[in-house]
Amino acid sequence: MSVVFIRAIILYLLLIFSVRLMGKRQIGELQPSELAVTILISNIATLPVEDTGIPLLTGIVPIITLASLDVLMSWFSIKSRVVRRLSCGVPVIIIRDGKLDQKQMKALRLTVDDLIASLRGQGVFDISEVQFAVVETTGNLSVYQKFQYRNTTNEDMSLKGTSKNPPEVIIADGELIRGSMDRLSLAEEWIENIMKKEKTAVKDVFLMTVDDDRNYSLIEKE
Amino acid sequence: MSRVITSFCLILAIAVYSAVAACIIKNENEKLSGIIEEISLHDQNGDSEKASAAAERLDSEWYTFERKMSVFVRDDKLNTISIAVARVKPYVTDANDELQAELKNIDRQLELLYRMELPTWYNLL
Repeated sequence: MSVVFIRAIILYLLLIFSVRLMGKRQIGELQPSELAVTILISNIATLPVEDTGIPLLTGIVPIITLASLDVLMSWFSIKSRVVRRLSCGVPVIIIRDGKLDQKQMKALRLTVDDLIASLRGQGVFDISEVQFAVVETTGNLSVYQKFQYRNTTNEDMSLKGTSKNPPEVIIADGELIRGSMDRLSLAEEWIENIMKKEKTAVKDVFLMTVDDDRNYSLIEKE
Repeated sequence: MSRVITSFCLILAIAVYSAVAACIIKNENEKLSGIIEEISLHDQNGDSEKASAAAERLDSEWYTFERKMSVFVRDDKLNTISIAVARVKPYVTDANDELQAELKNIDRQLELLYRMELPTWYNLL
């Protein structure tokens, strides 16, 4: 039993390494090649855990190979448009100028119900509101509404203002986040002064955020 | 870019590892085949003492080889050879007429072990 236990730990660590190697894109929206790799890896990993007669390396080698090939394929996709088209496919326009392209829908094997459901997911309940819609390589539908149905922006309203970065976390659970301090060019003295002003210490702070204008928000530990 | 380099290095390491594994199996196979041939010759010449000593060597060599091989090969394949190797010494001692067949069997199994590690078309398909 201890063999299975240790093997499971090794494979768990290896899977985390593989997913980290493949990058954050893997966790979010999957490209066809990434989906194939994810399915394969999850299946391969179970075999050496279940059967101790199989060498662990027969699980490790294909997992590392698949994860590495995925990274190399992504790299080639960035370098070559042809490789990108082959591995990821191309986005397909299914509504152009408000007209539904039924031929493309058939090619994608996309039913009207699927399309309507995807549009609802985008907050569009009437197909006549759509100017342009694209089925992305991930299978997601991107929708561009007709002018009269689009949300009003600050620019439309001629509202003036400046774009600011969101506040950064400076203290999390009593620990200083050095990276955020460097990004905001904050000195430790400044934080010490804030601590004195708030009559607390860094170790007693649950969360502290600071924005570009040095406005801060502080929550103490309970 | 570091991910790409890491991936490339990992693929390269796996390719090297595969080649090294095949070489290790080939070398060890040759060593064991030599001992098997020795046992066979001594048995044919009726020298049971030398045959017995060689069988002893085969047993200990196989024990070391099996542990190394269990990293690369499934246990059931190794178990088949282990059972056959375990029969050799009693066959030599009893002057059993199945000894030659058993030696041939081990030799063929070892050869198969090596052949299965090669990326030939029949292995790939």
